Amino acid sequence: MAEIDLTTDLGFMMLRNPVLTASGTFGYGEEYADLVPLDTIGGFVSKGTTLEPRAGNPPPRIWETPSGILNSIGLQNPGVDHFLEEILPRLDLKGTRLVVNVAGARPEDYVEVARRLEQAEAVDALEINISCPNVAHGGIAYGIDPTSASALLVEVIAVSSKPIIAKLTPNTANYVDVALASQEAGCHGVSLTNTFVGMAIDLRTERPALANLSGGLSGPAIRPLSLHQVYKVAAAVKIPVIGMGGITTGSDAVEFLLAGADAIQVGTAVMSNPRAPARILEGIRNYMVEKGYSSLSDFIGKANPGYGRPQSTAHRLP
Amino acid sequence: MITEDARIIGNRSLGERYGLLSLRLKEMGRSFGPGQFVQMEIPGRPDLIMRRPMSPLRIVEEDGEFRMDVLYLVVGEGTRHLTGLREGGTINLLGPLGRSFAPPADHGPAFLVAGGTGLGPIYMLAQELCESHDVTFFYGARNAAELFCRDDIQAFRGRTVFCTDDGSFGRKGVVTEVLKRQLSRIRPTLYACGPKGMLAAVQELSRDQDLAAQVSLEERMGCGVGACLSCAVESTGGGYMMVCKDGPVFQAGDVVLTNG
Repeated sequence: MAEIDLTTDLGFMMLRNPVLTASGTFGYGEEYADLVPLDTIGGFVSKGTTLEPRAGNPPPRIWETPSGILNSIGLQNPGVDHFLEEILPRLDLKGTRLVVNVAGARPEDYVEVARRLEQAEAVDALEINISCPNVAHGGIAYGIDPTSASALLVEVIAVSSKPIIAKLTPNTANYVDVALASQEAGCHGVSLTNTFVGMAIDLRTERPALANLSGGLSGPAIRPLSLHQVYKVAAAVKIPVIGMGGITTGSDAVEFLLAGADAIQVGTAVMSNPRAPARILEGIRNYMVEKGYSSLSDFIGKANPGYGRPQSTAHRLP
Repeated sequence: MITEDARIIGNRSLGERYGLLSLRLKEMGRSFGPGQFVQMEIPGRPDLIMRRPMSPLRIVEEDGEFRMDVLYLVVGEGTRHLTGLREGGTINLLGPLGRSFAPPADHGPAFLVAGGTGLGPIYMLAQELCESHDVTFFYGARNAAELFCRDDIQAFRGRTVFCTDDGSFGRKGVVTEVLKRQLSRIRPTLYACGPKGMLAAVQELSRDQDLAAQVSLEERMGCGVGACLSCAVESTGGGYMMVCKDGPVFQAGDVVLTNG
């Protein structure tokens, strides 16, 4: 039987396997250290990090819906300097890839965060959050319009030597155009989807369940919606696509890979079960054994006639 | 912090709104402080994807393993599903989580205040403190039927004060009012877990009378380990703290308690 190779080559970054944990569900890698050893995952994406510390939104911030979770955290984070000075030096990455999710209210905030992250060798890539649905300024505002997305991403890319991944919002009919604009701007990859905007009403208080009124829906409830967008984007762009949206099992992950995702992220499933990344990897491996595949490239994009192998963007690396 | 599949060894209804789940654990019972909690999956309902934070009422070592009793209140679909669980099944727990109560800094007397499912952490605290400290256990409920473990609580070394809203057992009225009247003679450390109104009353007493107080909070929770930042409580120093990781036990003066 052929040896199974889960190595994932994104062109700009090699991963030991295609499973990353998603921004906002994995803190800065320390919180789950006992339960999700960093040397078992391909990489993790940090909490959305801004220039200044942010307190976040008032509670309640979370609400369960059928097979889903609505959240409105509001980008609570300690700020990029705290991350660089306090958190990063004590992180034991164990060879996993660290992607920092960068957020901001104004383009200059994103740019400054990217600039400050330049000095951090341990940071392998930046994921630019143009898709947060839960803040009044920035976030999603840049992600629903290809022109604004492109303008912002060009500015960030200009100050950063690190690979740049644009994290896309599903809350626009334009998502393929925004993905293409991200590619045009010089991004090394795109990741999608962020959460879908939604709300719930608490019958006990007869008021919106979340203090912020609306929130972002994640979990298995959104999986078919996210999968469809990943499929469409993977057919349109030539840069690597990192797919996510409700992935809970190995089969879910395989669906995204077949649709043309070059790697996947797991978020809400880790909250339900910290063993989810390990279980998903085992599921992918079993699938490959069953089908006789030895590497991921044997089946990535197989269900998507429009999918083409990402062109290498390695020339942008030092 | 570990995950463990616990075996269900009992699950009985305690009146209309409460249940008592008894679980068999191999490892997780070993180091559980009073106030710490578990994140409990709702087994057999993959559509209910959030774990439910639950505090043990007691943990007993039995034949090298542990029995954990959990008092739960039926509040929604998940906890309603718990009432149907039968012996022999398993349920996955993540724990122990959060910070536990700390003994009185001055080794002085302790007033313990419990309401509703807040009985769990306070009961565990009483077990820990009653042999070494001067403990008074205040416990309030709607009515006699919802005052659980009365015999066990009375068997603790120390005084007990029971209150019910309808006067069907113990004193009629709010437990914090009774407590307040006893403060003229004694300056205890206050410990409380229960409805927000009760915690706010304890917080006010501690402020007015300059008493140390620790309160254990409840909030809608995501991960339980401080990663998702969902279970925010406003800090008196500005910003938010996380109930799961910075708490659930807080110094009463450190948190803003709003009714919601």
